[in-house]
Amino acid sequence: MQLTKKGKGGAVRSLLSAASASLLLAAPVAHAEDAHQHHHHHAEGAPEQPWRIDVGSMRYSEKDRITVSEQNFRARRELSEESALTVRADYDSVSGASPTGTLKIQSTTGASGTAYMASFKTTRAAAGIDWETALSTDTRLTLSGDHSSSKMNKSSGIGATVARDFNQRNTTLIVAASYSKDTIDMDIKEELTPVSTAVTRASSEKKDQIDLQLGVTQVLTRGTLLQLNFIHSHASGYMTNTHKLVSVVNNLTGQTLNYSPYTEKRPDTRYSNAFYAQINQAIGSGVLYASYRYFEDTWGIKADTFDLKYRQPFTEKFYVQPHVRFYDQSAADFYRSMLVAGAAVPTYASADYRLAKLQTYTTGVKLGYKPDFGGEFTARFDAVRQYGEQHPQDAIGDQRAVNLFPELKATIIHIGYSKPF
Amino acid sequence: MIFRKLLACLALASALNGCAMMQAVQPWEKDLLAKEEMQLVPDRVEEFFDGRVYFSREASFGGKGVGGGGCGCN
Repeated sequence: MQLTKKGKGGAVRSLLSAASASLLLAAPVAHAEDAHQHHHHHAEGAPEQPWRIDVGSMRYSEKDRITVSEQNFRARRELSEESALTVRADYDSVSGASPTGTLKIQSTTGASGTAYMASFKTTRAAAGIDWETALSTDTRLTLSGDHSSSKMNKSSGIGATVARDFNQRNTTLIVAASYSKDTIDMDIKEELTPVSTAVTRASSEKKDQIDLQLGVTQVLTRGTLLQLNFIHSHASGYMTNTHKLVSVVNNLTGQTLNYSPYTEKRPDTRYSNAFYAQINQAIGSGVLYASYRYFEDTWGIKADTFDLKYRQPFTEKFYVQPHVRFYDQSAADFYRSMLVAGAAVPTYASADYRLAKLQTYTTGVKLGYKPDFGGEFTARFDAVRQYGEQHPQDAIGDQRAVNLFPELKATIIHIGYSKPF
Repeated sequence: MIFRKLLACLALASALNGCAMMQAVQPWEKDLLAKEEMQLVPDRVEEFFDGRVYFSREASFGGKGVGGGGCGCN
């Protein structure tokens, strides 16, 4: 992808050729914020520093479970006063053990109640591009394309964001839409059948997702910025996890002996709504970032997320930023910690703990340092704890005596460097 | 229900707009807002990494904007 200066037509051609070459990818977080990120207080005239590079390396490590090593790179080039191009690349590798959803107790002599783990290793590469252009003096358009690929999963997506300023650029309205298509290439087993006899019914499955955004950012005072977002998503297709299973237990003892676990099954449509609010508040030389998200979907999940960061500079070159995050979700309607032998098999069932009622607590700190040669180094450490129902109401017999949701402990270490030039 | 929420968002936006009209922050008063740390996403790589971590460990997602979709995983 060329990043040299060119006209709008050239940039469009670049975008389209990149898209048609399927070099574009979809990441689970949004890039549309770029649309107004750079614009609010954009200096007039030709950009003095047309380039900006951001690089980051993260290690996410769970105690006794998986480790993720991830590298992210992005380069943004202002092509003119009115347009800019960003290219993004990401590479990650995941290895370790993940809970299958099955329970460990097989007989009354079974000791531990922790879930069975399955080890795996996978790598994934992703790339994306954003092209921003001014439609008028107060309206901007951003077009995005994304593609990611791992051995079994491929995902491609496109998105468009329009942002319009009002009220002396104190108010920005944002309307955005995106579409993504995922493909899973692996043996797809018959759902909700004993895994010992489940036949492979397909070698590939697909999923589509449409996201629609309506947002507003508002300058409230000289040092207060507010953002409100409403996002509606519609996913359809294969959303079952082929690696997850559900234990079948004796209706009196709770023992799994003699029963093959079942493959899981999730609904093939999912509508969700997210409402997001964020405030940036300058306090002296520091900045407080506070955000809240409410999420609900047609699977019965309701979730609240609170996030608080405070950035305090100590010198011109050095700042410290403590961070806390709290997350709480209800269980999906079809979440079952286990199925009962002899009982009717439900239409949908999953024992994936991520669909259970759970809470996540994160505390961390980030350090920032601006060296003499320019740019900014950052180092961040976050500790993550996740808790769920150790003794869910549907536990039977021996399963009541054991911890069915072992605590998850994880750390995030992230080192980054950014430089405009 | 979605439309009611959309209307509520728009009403709130209009109210904020009206509020700001009364005491709009002038361009020459935007020194603080122009700082990099006052941007909505001051560190986009951090935003990206955290999005990936929590997306894969929690059932909810999104809120900050729309973007191409998923990682191809369920």
